[in-house]
Amino acid sequence: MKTLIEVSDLHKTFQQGLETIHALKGVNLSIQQGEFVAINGYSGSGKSTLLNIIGTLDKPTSGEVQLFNQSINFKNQLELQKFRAQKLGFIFQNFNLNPVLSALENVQMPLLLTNLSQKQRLEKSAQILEKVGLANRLHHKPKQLSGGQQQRVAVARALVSSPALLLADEPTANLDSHSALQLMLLLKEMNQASGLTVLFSSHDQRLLTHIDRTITLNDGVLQSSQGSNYEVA
Amino acid sequence: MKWLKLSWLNVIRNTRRSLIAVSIVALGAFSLIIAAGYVLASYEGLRESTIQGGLGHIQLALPNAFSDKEIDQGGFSAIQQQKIQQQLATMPEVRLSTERILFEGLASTGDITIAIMGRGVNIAKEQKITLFTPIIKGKNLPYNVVQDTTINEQDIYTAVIGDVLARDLKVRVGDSITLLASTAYQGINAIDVVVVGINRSGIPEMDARSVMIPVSAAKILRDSDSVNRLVISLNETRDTDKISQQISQQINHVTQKNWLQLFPYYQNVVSLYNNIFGVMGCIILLVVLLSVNNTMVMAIMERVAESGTLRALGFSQQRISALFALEGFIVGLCGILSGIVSASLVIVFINISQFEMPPLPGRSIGYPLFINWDLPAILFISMAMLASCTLAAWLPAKKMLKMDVINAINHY
Repeated sequence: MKTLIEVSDLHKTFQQGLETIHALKGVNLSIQQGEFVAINGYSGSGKSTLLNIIGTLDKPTSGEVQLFNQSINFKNQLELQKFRAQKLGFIFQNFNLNPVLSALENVQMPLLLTNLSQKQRLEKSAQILEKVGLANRLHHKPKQLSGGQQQRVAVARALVSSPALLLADEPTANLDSHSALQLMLLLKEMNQASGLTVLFSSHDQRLLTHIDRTITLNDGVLQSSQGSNYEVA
Repeated sequence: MKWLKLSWLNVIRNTRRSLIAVSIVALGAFSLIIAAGYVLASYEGLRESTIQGGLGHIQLALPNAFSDKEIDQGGFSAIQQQKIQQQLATMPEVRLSTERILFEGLASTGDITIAIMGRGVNIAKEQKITLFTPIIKGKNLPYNVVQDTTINEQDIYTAVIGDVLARDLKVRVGDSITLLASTAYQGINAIDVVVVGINRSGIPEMDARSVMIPVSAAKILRDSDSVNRLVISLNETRDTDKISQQISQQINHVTQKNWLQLFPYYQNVVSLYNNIFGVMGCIILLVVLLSVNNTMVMAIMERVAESGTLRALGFSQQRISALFALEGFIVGLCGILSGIVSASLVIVFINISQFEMPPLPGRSIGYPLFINWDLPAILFISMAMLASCTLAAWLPAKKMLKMDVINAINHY
């Protein structure tokens, strides 16, 4: 299997007033293509920071990040935008859907950056919504959907541009336990069906039973990585 | 199209707020279009009333006659006049040309004598270019419709005088007055004329001095067959420069002045109005800009997380700020279209109603209120409004997009 994510000696510090917060302290991590990985840890452990840096939304204070065997240059914003649009999919804790757009239109958003025609965009979006079980909710606005359904729309939006890596920051935090479990199963299904690499953060221990591998962070230090193909420095 | 639809959906997500912004833009556009229409109508009214009030579009005289009183005592001979008028008649833009003898002198009833500015005119043509100086009592100078000349010798000794002069001289239609003027050869001559009509230009200073007599009477008074002015009236004022150039090229030994040179007051009025309108326009544009800016700042601050999400999905900051700018553009466009439609309806209503306005300073008669529907002005106002609205949306969006993506995504 190919290595998809390679993180070496990753440090991240924040300045909060006079205090310097060390969010990540020399994290080393390697994730293979097709893995289904959870980052576990208490609030403030640095899991969101790690996920954001891997997702190129944040830049590290020091250390190196390689994605798809390519070293990431965090200074070139234009390249990062293109990279995110082509290779990455994101799911957020608060779903972050556009309230004025229907499910179908929300899912279409990443495709607006492509050269696909409107018809192709609609077809592709409808197909992916069908896959996540929302074929009968295409024209519903987010307000007309339940939390679980909204997060499924977010999943569809993340997957519509066929990314190789799906990143999700606490995707189940705003869902009830049933919806959370359904979402996990959906992501797992996508992972198994298409070989999509999934990396998400969660502190819900119940969900971690469905995961191939769990990385545990504590105070910015990677403490353990349980499962197959793991590497802890 | 896909971006336009997205921006449109965002505009109508808060209908009430967008409607307020659109209304402000519409009101601004309405005010500017009405104000511009009024100002332009005033310019046109002032210009045309002056030209059609007897000034003509171009006046011809002997070289240096405009600046040298002595030269102006002379004038074009009958042959010169005829030749020039024949040349002018070949120009399709020229409506007519008419001879005029200008003189200064005195008008007297015996008891009262007042200094006057006299004009000897070919009334058949003159009345076509003095539309804004109506006869208010009596009738115009007599003339033969067929031959465009006075009918008989008795008709030569007639005059139409200004209403203020008539009042000051205490004369009425049918009374006789004596006109005294210097001749072309520096002598003094006098003729008696019968007042057949009283006119009013609306300019009291003019109406206190104006005496109009047939050109044949003026020739007798000045003891000369020459005429010192040829007044040219054009079909369209915009052709003035073109004809002026043709005259320079084709007619020798004449000097010419166009209406703007003869009436420099017009340029002063235009400059004054332009300044006033410019300041007013800037204030209205500023109000519109601030209002739209306020609306867009509210809309943008509500959608920080959305913008962060778009950036995470790979949308560039330029693309997102362009989307917000497009929203401002849409608000501006809706407002401008509403403003144009409402202003057009009001303009039509006002122009049909023909409201009477009070006299302008320096004038004694009112004028009908008329507002121009001027396409170039409307386009200019629309462009300025659209630019303001787009800018008002783009600037805060650009500032918001400086925020860190992570903070933006989690901004609630």
